[in-house]
Amino acid sequence: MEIKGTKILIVDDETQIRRFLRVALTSHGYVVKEAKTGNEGLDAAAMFNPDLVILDLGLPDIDGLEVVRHLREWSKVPIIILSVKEQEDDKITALDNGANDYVTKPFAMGELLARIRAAMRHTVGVEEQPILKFDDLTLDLVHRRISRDNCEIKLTLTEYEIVKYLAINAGKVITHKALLHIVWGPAYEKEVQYLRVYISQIRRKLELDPSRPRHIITEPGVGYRLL
Amino acid sequence: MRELALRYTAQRVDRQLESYMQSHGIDGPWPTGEKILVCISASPFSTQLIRIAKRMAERVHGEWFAVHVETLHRFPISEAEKDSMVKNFRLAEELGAEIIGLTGNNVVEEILELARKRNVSQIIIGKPEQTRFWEIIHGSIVDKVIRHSQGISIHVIPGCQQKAEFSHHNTVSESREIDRKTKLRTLSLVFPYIASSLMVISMTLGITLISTFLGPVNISLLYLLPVLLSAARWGTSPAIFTAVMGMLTFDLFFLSPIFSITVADLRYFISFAIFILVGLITGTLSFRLKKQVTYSRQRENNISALYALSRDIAAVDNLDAVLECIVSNVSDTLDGQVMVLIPNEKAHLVLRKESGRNNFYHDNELVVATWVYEIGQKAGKGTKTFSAAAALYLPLSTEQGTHGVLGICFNETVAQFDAERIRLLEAFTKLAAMAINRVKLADQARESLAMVESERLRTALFNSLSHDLRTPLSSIIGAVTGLLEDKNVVYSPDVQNELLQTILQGAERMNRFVSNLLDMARLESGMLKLNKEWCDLQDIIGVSINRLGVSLNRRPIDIDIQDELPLVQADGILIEQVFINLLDNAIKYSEKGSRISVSIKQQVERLEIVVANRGQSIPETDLSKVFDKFYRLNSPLQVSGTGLGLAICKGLIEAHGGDIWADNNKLGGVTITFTLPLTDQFIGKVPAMHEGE
Repeated sequence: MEIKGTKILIVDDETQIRRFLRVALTSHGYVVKEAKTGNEGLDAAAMFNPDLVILDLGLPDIDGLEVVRHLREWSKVPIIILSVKEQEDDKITALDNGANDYVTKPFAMGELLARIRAAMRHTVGVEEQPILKFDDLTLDLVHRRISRDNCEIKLTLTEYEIVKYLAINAGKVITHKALLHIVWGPAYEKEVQYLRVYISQIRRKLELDPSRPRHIITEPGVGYRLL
Repeated sequence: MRELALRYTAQRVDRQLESYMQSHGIDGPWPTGEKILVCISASPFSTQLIRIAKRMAERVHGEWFAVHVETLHRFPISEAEKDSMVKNFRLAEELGAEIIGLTGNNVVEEILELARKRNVSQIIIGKPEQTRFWEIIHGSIVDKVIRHSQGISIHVIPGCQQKAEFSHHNTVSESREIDRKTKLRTLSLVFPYIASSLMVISMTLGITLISTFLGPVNISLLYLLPVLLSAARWGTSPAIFTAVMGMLTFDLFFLSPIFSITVADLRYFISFAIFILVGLITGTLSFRLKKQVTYSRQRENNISALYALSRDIAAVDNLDAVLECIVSNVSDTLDGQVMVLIPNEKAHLVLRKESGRNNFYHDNELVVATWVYEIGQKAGKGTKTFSAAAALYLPLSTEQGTHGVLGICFNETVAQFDAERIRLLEAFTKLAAMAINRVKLADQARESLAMVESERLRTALFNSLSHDLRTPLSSIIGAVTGLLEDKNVVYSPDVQNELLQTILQGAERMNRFVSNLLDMARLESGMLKLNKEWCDLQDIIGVSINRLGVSLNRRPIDIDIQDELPLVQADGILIEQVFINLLDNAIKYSEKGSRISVSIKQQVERLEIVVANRGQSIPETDLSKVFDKFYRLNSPLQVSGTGLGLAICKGLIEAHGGDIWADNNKLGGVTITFTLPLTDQFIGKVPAMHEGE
């Protein structure tokens, strides 16, 4: 995937955060536009037409959540939320309202870059690739087969469905609600315990050490992410 | 001529004195420290005494007191007497006297004792209305006062009857009220005589049947029986009445000639006199005994009321309960509406407790109460200060000062002049003040203890802030300025990398510290909300280990998780925080490369999670202290930290309803164990994905 020329809009009221993001992202070849407030950010999103938005939840004028809702009314641009630990609930709401991913401040640059890459990948349409690879894991969407080091792993239908959904959104956090909605249906959106049981079964099959998983990563209180 | 000369001399002396006073700047009479005491009773003549006392006091610019001594012999006084007593007291009060009511056996002693105590210089006393004969028997109060007064001048004022003053202003309704009362009183007065007559009559009938066997002497002795009974029961007058009646009956029915009184019967005059004497003595004795009984019963009631209050207030230790006790006890015992006013934080008196149905309290009353609070003397109804107030106010004072004011509005108006009741009220007030003082002191002790504790914490926080924030900041600033400023010096890539690592570590350390402080603040402020959901602890351990990342590098961790571990209701993020803090501690307080073990087991209705390391142990006495805020172990490993990690763990686990404790383990390290309650287990089967997929 080509990084050069990818346009990123940064919406944050902190000058220092904006500055270091601009410097780091520009050096990595992105084209950066900055906005200080939510309204400014919404305008810039329309004018600048970014490929990705990095959005701080705590803005001086309008709530970051509002910005997400407004943006989603007309745009599918990937949004990465910047949040602090105290905004746990807002973060999940933002994800459920269409934000693609989040990073918690303070964050390492590498982490943010990985999230940006993951988010960009999905806009290019990974679903069309029939075979997905994650280190030693291979997922064959056509034959509904998962194998580790060429050894097939038997999964139940539900387990496969969970893994498949995580895999086609690889690198991106999937909230409990979204996952439950897709696999069990809208009536089960709150039954987090289903996921706990299934994820632990899946880990026992997929992971070398289920206590220290490398592929299916838990985002506490938020959801799961497949790497 | 001589007279003229004398008058001239007198005028001259007068003029000289005047000029002396003028030259020395003295205007008016010479001020003296005179104190005048006037003895008053219920008699209307007392008003005259009061006015005389007032005039004398004015003349000498002195204080004056109006005193009434209630004696046991004079109990109980009649309603009319009580009313006029109240009137006299009120008059004295209006004229500016201090009212003093005393109770005692000996009027003279009581008066003189008070006079000495108050340093009274003049006593005004009325000339008794009793006859000379009465005085010979009972002794004259005036004589005794004069004989025993040393250094006090006594003024004896001759009395003149002023009966006309009685019931002049009575309105119609009042007189009706009095009418009703009088009727009742008459009935109760007449009853003993009727009963005595009946006794004598039935006795006579009885004796008539067997009179033949009894001689006249025995019969006359039998007639003593009703006299004794009636004397013991109703007092002197009915006894004498019975004696006369008995004698007449005896004479008429049993002495010949029957049905007539003759001169010959005069020899029975002696028995007759003895009858009357017996009636008199027995009546007086029994009457006095009765009074003594009433008096001691009243005393006993008072003492037991005081005892009840002291017992009640000793049992409680918060102010509200103490006040509740005081108010209910005082209002029950003294029959009035009671309230207690206590100063608030701004030292303004506010009503804190009242015995229900209070309707006398308003702003004016508060003014009186405030005065009492500030001056520390009683005021209000029945005293000479603010006597127009609806209630009587007494300061609740101890040696430490005044703690509040007790207000009482007696249900009966006469009660405010009942010396016994006022004395009991004062005893109550003393007791109440002491109780309030005790509660206050206890509160102060608690507060100062809390102050010491918070002072200790503040010092610890300051030390921690200055050390744990400054140290990483200095390393960051140092490294950054090194990289920024020394443009001429070219750092080798290794050195550059090392400086950057220093900055990163410093920043991470500050981040940890700030998070800890925030967590602690959230825990302590009660802002912490548990977001409980079903959690898989194995999963959470995985996340924590992942999160610790670099610092956990190359540390072997044994994870021992029981198979089929049930899910637990908990806030996953907070439990992750607990794991991170525990693992972080386990790493910091053990040698590099040593093992750390984590195990989770299901016990009855709870999960037990153990995190253990192999390093140094903690002195047994300090095992519980590790969970205190800002407690830091002395470690040879030079550990950096905030001393908040374990305190936060304790707070979080306790918020979940679990326990956390520390032990020294057999491997020389420390084991921290915590539990999470398995209140409602998730047993339900998980359905497969929805149909249609």
